[in-house]
Parts: sequence; structure tokens; C-alpha cells
Amino acid sequence: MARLVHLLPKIWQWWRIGLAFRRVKQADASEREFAEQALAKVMGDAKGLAMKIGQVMAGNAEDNAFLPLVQSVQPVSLKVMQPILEGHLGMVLTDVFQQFEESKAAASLGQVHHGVLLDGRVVAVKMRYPGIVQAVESELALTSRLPAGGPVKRWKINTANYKAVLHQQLLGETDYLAELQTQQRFKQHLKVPGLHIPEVFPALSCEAVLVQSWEDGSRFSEACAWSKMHRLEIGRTLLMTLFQSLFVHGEVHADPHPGNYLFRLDNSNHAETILLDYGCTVRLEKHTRLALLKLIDAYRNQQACDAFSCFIEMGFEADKLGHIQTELPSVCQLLFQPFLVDKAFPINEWQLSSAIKDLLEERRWWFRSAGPAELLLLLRAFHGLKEQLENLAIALPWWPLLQHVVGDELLQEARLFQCKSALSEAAPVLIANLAHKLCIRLSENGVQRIAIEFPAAAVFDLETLMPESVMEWISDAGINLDTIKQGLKKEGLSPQPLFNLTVENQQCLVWLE
Amino acid sequence: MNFVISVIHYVEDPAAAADYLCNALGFQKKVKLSPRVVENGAISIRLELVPSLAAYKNELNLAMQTQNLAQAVTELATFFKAELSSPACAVSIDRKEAQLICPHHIRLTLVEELNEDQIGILPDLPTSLIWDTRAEACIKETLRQVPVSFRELARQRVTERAEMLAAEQALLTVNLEFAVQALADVTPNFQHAQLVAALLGQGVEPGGYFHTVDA
Repeated sequence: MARLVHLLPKIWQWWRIGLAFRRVKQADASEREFAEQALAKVMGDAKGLAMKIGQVMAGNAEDNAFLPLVQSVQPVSLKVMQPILEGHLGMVLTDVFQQFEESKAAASLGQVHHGVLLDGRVVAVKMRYPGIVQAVESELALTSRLPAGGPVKRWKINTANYKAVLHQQLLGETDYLAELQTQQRFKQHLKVPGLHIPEVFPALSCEAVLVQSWEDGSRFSEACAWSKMHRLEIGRTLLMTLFQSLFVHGEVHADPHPGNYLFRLDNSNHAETILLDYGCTVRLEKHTRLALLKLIDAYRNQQACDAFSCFIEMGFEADKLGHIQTELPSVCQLLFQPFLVDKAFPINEWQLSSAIKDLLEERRWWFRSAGPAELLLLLRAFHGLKEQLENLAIALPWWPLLQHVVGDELLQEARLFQCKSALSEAAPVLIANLAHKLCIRLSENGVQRIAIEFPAAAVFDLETLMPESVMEWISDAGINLDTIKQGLKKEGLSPQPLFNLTVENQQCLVWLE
Repeated sequence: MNFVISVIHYVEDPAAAADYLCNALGFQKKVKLSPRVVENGAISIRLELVPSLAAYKNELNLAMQTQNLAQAVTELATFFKAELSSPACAVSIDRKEAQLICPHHIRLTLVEELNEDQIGILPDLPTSLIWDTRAEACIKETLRQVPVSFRELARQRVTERAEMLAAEQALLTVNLEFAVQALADVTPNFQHAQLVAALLGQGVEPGGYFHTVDA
């Protein structure tokens, strides 16, 4: 009965959210903004899981209705929160703080108050909403009733694992003592130029209260208007923080919404990035990290590498991954594209979702379904980084920065790392020397007229790249581009001639190099 | 629907006009008998017998590119009965034009696009990181040694390489040392001696990146 009392209001809230979602979906362009505002409002009212989802929907964009869910929603008054805080501290407020203000920043699971300790140190006191743990548990109970038909069944998506990760993460986020320990680990281990992690105060913190140093800074949208040098410094910090967290520290901050970052200039006029909120992180075992680093390094240096074994080592399910085994080298080229180029990588060239869709079509779901649920959080971290670099409008060289972060010793360890499945007899064929570029040459009377190069994956868009007149030749010569593309999808993008056409005095040569 | 677009030009003698366009202006005959069509890969022209006096007022205005404007004007005037109506002059910083009146009611604008050497302005490097002034000036100046048709590619490669070298040390500014090393990395060894001389000419110490001994 008590459980039902908790569940009923949540069912009511989720029903309202569902209704608001439907309105957004059905709204035309003129009504869409209002419909989104209405949806953001009900998600903000619901707090907890609904607000978390709203924050993810906000992304890093400047002008969407969900941004208030990132920046701030209406906080609970100090009158309500003070007795709760005093109960946790075991002291009255004035015994600890010389100043304590109403909250101006409410988040999904708690809110932050500005305070000044008796010794003068300025602190941020993050307090969990009363009753939020039970509320989240109720919402999570609802998620366990999610249907498992349709695509979930077809692609054998293990929803139990996803639910387990969701439960673990969301309940973990309500435990501020665990968050404090995570923040301490990050502060102790991450050494990245320009990164600042606030200091925590364990003696004043508990499961429902987290006290840390107060940090002033500008929001991400403001930092995007800073000078190119400062934007580059921010980009480098974000990139190196992710690399160091992932490959060296083994734990990644997986909540990259803009509210979790502040930016300021230090005394030497260098940009400093303040990373907040360590409630949502993903930990990766060393063998997972080594397998991933081994794979990136092999593709970067065009060394023979058994991609299949590396993915299995990272926790992918072999039977599902087997459906796209032949395409794995091409998938790796798309996944690791920023590491493979010898230049500062313009991030808008990394159209991963559409490129994977073009390559695998419907079977891309096998890749998603095969991956461990925890990797979703890692993908979220990379997606957040991509959005941040896009908004900063900068390009950085990824590979040398990764090399700098991991160092020679770890890189060597990754190169020598033996994936377990590679030791078995069923190890797949080693794949090496993948094509890096698509080359098109048009010549007339033996004189080269046009020479163009594209990334190798552009071969799947060959029709749009070829001049119209050449498309006519291709058709007249009976060359079927779809057959060529199907073959490449099956066999991988290895260096090879694709076709060679001669019409009168003109010649067209297309190959993968 | 797809259309193949041709310009129709009315002349008294389509066969002679077709010959003129092919001999003087580099067109090729696509249809040799009536209606005569000539093309040059960019445009096709259908030559029709003039139907009425009013059509005489129609002129065919062609704009064509040349790599040497002065020479092209002289050749057309000397061998192909073209009259200069507007002499060669610069219409923008990177473009010179001359206008000629040719037989068969053809008005021709000849265009010469000037390369960076002819303009005398060194283009910016395609940078992503920050470059210190000396490093940028050194690369720009050294690239003058590269034949102009290969220079754009060389500019891109050396810029990208220098930025990779800076990033290897997690730096965001490309200094002179990275620039010089990048020059050495992207230049074939047999050209290193020439490159070293060019650097020394600018007062830049080449360092130990070059293969000049027994080259």
C-alpha cells in the first residue's frame, strides 16, 4: 500500500510527460516552441528521472526550451531545507556557517546553497531534496515494467542490463558521500592543464549533503565567445580530461551537460575549466581500456589488429557482434576517425551516426545491442565532448594529445596486450592496411584534368561525388555502384581499384588507397 | 526532367562560325551538320542560320580564361581577325581582363586570374592552432621556393605537420622550431640543401632536422 502511495503520483507525472511529448511530436513549427516549453515545465516539476532526461535533451544548444532544466529550476526554500541540513550536520547552522543563502541553483536530485564557513572559506552546499531517494526508486520501479517487444526483441537488446545501469547510476547520484569520494579520486589522479576540480569537505558532508569549495566562473555559452586561444585551451582541457580519465584513471565523468562546467581566466590569462558534479561516472576495467587503446593505436599506425577480439575484450557479445564482423574494420575507421588524421580535426567532419547508418544500415542495431550497457555512458561522454568542441568552433589534433596523455609506457603496454579471445582457436582473421582515402582521377588525352581525394568512407556516397557525365558513362558501361558498395561493406574498405572507365579520349579512374 | 542547355547563336554562315570557334577559341564540333553544335566542356553553342534582320542585333558574349592574357590577345588579333575593344586592365586584385570583338558577332572577354606570385601577396596559412609571428612568416616566405601549382598543397601539409608537432607536446602555439621541423618533415631529402639555404637567407637557424650531408 505504501509503495502504491509513492507510485501513484509518479504515474500521474509520467502520464503528463507522455502527453506533453505527444504534443511536441504532433505540433507544427509555430506551435513547437510552446509545446517544448510545456514539456520542459512538467519535466522540471517532476524532478528526479524526468528532469535528468530533460537535461540530456537540452544538450549544449543555446536556444531550446529544455535549457532551464540545465541552468536552474525553482529551488526549495531555505525554510524547508534548513532543519534537514541541521539534522544531517548535528549542529545548528550558525555553529558552522557565518553566512548561508537561499538556493539559486536547483538540479534534478538536489539544490546548491552558497555559504561562508566560520573560518571564512566560501563553500557550495549541495543538498538532496527530501524524499528524492524514494521518488527515484518509485520511478525506477516503473522502468522495470518497460515493454520488451519490437526492436528490443528483434535485436536482442538486453534491457535488463540497461535498466541495471540506469538504477545503479541514478541511485548512485543520490548518494553524495559516494560522489564526494569520486570527486576526491578525480582531484587526486587527474593532472590536466587548465582543469580545476573543487575541493570537498568530508567532515561536513554526508549521504544527503556535499560541501565543496565555491567556484565562480562563466557558463559554457559565454566561454564560446572568448578569444580563439582561450577556446583552444578549453578544448584541450576537455579533450585531455576525457583521455586521461578514460585511459589512465579508468573512470570517466559521464554527465557532460553545460551546467556541470564553469570557465574562468587565471592570473596568467589562461582559460581554466571547472568540472562539477561527479554523481554520474563510468568506471572501466584495465583490460577494457587496454583493448580500446590497442585498437585505436593499431588503426592509427595501420598495424594488423584483430578488431573483433578487442571488442569482445571490451565486453561486447560475440554472437551479436558476429553479424557485423566483416564490417568491423570499417566501423573502427569511422569510430576512430579523429585519431586517424594527421591534422587538427574539424569535429563537424565526424558524422558518426549517419556514417554508421550508411555502412551498416539496419544492422547497426547489432553493434549497439552487442555493446555493454555501461558503454552508453562512455558514448554520452564522447557525444558531449563533440558538442562542446563544435560549439567552441575549434579544431585540435587528437592523436598527439592522446599520445601525450597516455605516455609511451601505457601505449607500449596496450600494444603488447593480448585479448583473451585472440588466444582461442576461433580467433578471426587479422585485418590490416585499410584504405584511408577515396581517389578519383579524370584525364583527357592522357592529361590529368581532375584529381580529388575524400575520406575512404565517402565511397558509400560515390553517386553524389561523381560528375553527372561520368555517372552516364558508369551506367553505359554496366557498372553497378550498389554492387561495389555491398562488396565493400562485406569485405571492408581495403585498398583496391574500384573501376576504370575510358570513353573516347577521356578516362576516369576510381580507387581506394 | 533533365535538360541539356545550349546557347543558340544566329549567324550568316554557321559552318564558318563553327570553324572559327574551333580554330580560334578551342571549341570542338559536336554536331558537324545542321544544326551545327560546338562545345568546349563548359558550354555548347548551337549555330543557326540567321532567320531575320533583327537577329543580327544579338551578339554572343563569351568570357574565357587564359593563362597569358597578353599573348592570347596578340594571337587572336594577328591570326583570327579579332579587334581589341578594351585593352587589358586589372579588374580586381587577382584578375585581369581584355575585351575583343571577333567575327561572327562574337564579343569575347578574356580573363587571366593572377596567382599569388603575380599578386605579390602571400596567402594566410590554413591554421587551426595559434602561430607565433616568426613561425608564420618563415613558412610563408619559404613556400615561395615551391612551384606555384604545388604550393597550396605544400602550404596545407606543412601547416598540418607543424600543428601536429606542437600538439605532441600538448602545446597550442606553433613556434619557429616546430615550423622548421615541419618544413624538413614534408620536404623530400634531395631538396633539403636548397631549403637550408633559404632558411639561412631569412636568418633562421635550420637546426638538425635536415639531410644536407652528401645529399
